[in-house]
Amino acid sequence: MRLISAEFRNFRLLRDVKVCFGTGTERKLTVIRGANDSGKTTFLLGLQWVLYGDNALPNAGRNFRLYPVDWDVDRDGGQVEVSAVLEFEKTFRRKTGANKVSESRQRYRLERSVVEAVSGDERTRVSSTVKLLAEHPEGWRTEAEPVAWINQELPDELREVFFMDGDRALGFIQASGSGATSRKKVEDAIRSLLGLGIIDNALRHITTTRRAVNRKAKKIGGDERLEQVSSRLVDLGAMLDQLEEDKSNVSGDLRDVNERISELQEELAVTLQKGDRQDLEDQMNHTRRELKRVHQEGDKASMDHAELFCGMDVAVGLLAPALGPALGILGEMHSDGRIPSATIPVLRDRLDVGECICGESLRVGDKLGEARRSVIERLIEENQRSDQVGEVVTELYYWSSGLGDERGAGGASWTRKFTACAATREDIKQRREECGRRVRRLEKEIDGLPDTDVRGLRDAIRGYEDRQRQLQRMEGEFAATIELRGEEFRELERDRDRLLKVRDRGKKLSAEVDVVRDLENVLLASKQRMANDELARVSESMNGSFSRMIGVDPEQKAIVHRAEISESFDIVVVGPEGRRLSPDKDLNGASRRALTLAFILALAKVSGVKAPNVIDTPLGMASGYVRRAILRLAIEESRQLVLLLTHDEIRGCEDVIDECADVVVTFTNPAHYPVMLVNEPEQEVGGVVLCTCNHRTTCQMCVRQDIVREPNDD
Amino acid sequence: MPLNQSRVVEVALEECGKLPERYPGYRESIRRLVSDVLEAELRHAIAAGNIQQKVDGLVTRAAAILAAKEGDGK
Repeated sequence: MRLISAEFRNFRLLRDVKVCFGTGTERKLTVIRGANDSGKTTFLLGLQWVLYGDNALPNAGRNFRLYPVDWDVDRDGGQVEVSAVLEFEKTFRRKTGANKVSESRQRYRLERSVVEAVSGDERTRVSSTVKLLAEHPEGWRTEAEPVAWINQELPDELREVFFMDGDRALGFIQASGSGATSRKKVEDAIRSLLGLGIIDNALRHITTTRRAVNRKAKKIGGDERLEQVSSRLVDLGAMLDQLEEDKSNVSGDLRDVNERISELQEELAVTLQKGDRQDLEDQMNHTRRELKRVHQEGDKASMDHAELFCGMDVAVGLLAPALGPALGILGEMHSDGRIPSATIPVLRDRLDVGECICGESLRVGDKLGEARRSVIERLIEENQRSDQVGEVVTELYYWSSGLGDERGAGGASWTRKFTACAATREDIKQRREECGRRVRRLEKEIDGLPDTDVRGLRDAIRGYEDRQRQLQRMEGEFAATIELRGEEFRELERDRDRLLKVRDRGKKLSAEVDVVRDLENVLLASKQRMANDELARVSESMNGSFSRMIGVDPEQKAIVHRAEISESFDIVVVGPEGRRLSPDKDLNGASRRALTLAFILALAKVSGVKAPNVIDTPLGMASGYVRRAILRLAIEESRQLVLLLTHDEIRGCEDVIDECADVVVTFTNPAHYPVMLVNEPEQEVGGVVLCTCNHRTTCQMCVRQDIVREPNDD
Repeated sequence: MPLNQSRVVEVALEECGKLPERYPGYRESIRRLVSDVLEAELRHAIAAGNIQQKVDGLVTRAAAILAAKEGDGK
C-alpha cells in the first residue's frame, strides 16, 4: 500500500486540509512540518480514523469529539459533517510463468464521514458512512466489505506499528508493574505481522476435523479395544475442546485486563502530567503539620520572652545604676562589723557561762554578778529590737553579694538573651509566613486540578494487575493441562491408528487420520519456525538498526552492547558483561525512541509488509548524531515514510531532508498569532492552514516568532 | 497475499517436504492441501463462510486419494 493523498474536513483542527504524499521510490520521504499544537498528531489520528473508524480513536471514540472545538453553532449550524478521504494504491503481483511475475497497480479511494449534532457541550453521532472505491477505466467502482478489506490489508492491531505516535509507541518497551502489558503488545505486533493468526485459525479448524474423524472411528465399532480407545479419544477430545475454550476465555479476559491496565495507566499519566493530587494533598498535610509545629514553637518563644522580663537578669541590668551605691553601703556596714549582727548570741553565751568577757562574775547568787546579769539582759532586750533591722540588712548583704558579676557585665547578659529571643521569634515568624504561603499555593494547585482520583486510579491499576497475575496463572495451568491431556490424546491416537490399520474398514479412516495429522504437523512446525526463526530475524534487524541509530561501539566501553527480543517477547537491552538493562529505566530518552523505532522498522522489514510508515515526532529527545542516524535509518528501512516533525526536530537534518524528501509542507495554526506567529492570519475561521513552505523556507503565513532562524534559512 | 502470509505459506510448503512420502506424489498432494486450507482461511477472514465444512471437505478429498493409492499399493 502506498499513500497518495489525504483530505480532511472538519476533523478537529483539520477544517479543510489536503496533503499529497510523496510517492517516489527513490525520494520516499514526505515531511509535514509543524510547531506543537499545529495539527500533526490530529493528522496522524485522522489517517487512522479514515482507515479504522472509531476503533482508532481514544476510548474507541467514546466521549471523543470529532468536530472542531471552536465550531460556532450560530454561524455554522448545529450539525457538523466530519469527513476524510484517503487515496492509496496497491501493487498486485501475479505469477505469469516460471520465474515470471507481472505487476499491476490499483488505485483506491476510502471515504469516511460522520455527522455530529452539536448542542452546548453535548454531541451526538447522527450518521456514519464508509466507502471503498476502486479506480477503473470507466470510473470509480464501489468495493464490497470495505472494513474487512482494510483489516485484511492492514489489520487494526498493526495500527500502532504503521501509524506511530512517538510517545505512545514507547509502550512497546515500557513495562507495567508485571511487564506483561509491553510483552503482550510486542507479542501481538509480532504475531500479526508474521501472519501467525492464519496458522492458528487453520490449526483450530483442523483440530475440529480430527475430532470428527475420531467420532467416525468410534462409530465403526466391532473391535472391543478399538471401541474403548475410540470412546476415550472422543471423551478426551471433548475435554480438550472444553479446556481450549476455557483457556481462550481466560486469554480473552486477560486481554481485556491488559487493555484496561493500559487505559488506566494512560489516564493516570495524563492526570499526573497536570499534577498529582495525592502528592499535593500529602504535601499540604505535611505543610499544615509543620505550620502547627511552628505555631507551638512561637508560643514557647513568646513565653520565654515574657519570662526574660520577669527574671533577675533584666532587673539587675535595669537597676545597675542604683545598685552600685547600695551595695557599697552594705559593704561598708560589713567592714564596720555592723553586719552581720552577733551581739545577742555573745551576751547569751556569757550569761550561760556565768562570766563576762572582761572576766567579772555573772553567776546567780552573787550580788554583783546578778546586778551585771540584769544589765546584760537589758542590753539583750534593747539589741533584740534593733537587730530585726540588722537581720534584714545582713540578709540583703549576703543575697546581693551574688549580683557582683551581673553588675560587672553592665547588663550584657540580659541583652544577649533578649537578642537571641527576638531572633528566634523573627525566625519563627518567617517560617510561619513561608508555611502559610506554601499552604495557599498548594490549595490553589489542588483547586486547579481535575477531579480525577489518582489514588483510585492507582488502586484500580493494582486491582487489575492482581487480576492479571491471577489470569496469567490460570492460563498457564490450562496450558499445562492441555499439554498433558494432549499427550495422552496423541498416545491413544497412535494406539487407535494401529488398531485401524489392521482393519479394512478403517483404511479410509486411517488415511484421513494420516492426512489430518500430517497437515497438523506441517502447520505446527511452520508456526514454530515462524515464531523462532522470524522472531530471531526481527531481533537481529532491530539490533542492527538500534546499534546504528545510537552509535553502539562496545570496544569503546559503550553502556549498551546490543538489543534483542527474548523468546517471551520482551525487548531487552544487554550491557557490558552480558548484564541485562531495562529499556525504560536504564536508557535515555533518545535511546528509548531509537529502540522503539528500530523494533517497528524491523517488524515491517522482516514481515515484508508493503505499507507506509507514518510517524509523529520520532526525533523528540534526540539530537546531533543520534537524530540524524534515526532519520537516515527510518528512510532506508521504509517503503514510504511520512514524518510529522517540529521545527526543532528538523534542525540539523536539513541536508538529509534535501536529499530524501519528495514532498515537504508546513502546517500552521492561525490561533498562534500573535504570540508565536509574526503575521496576522487572513482567514477568519480557525483550523490548521497548509502551505507549501519546506524545511528551509517560510512565508507570510507560517513565519514564526518562536523559531530562531539559522544563517542558511531563507 | 497481504502481510507476511506469503511467508507463512512458503514456510508451510517447505515443511511439507519433511513428511513421509506415503505414495509417490503424496508430499505434493499435501502441499496443495496446505495451500488450499490457508487460502480458505484467508478468504474466510475477508468474508466469513463455512470454513469448517471447507476444511473437512479438503481433508476428506486428500484422504480418499491416499486410501486409494495405499489400496493400489497392496
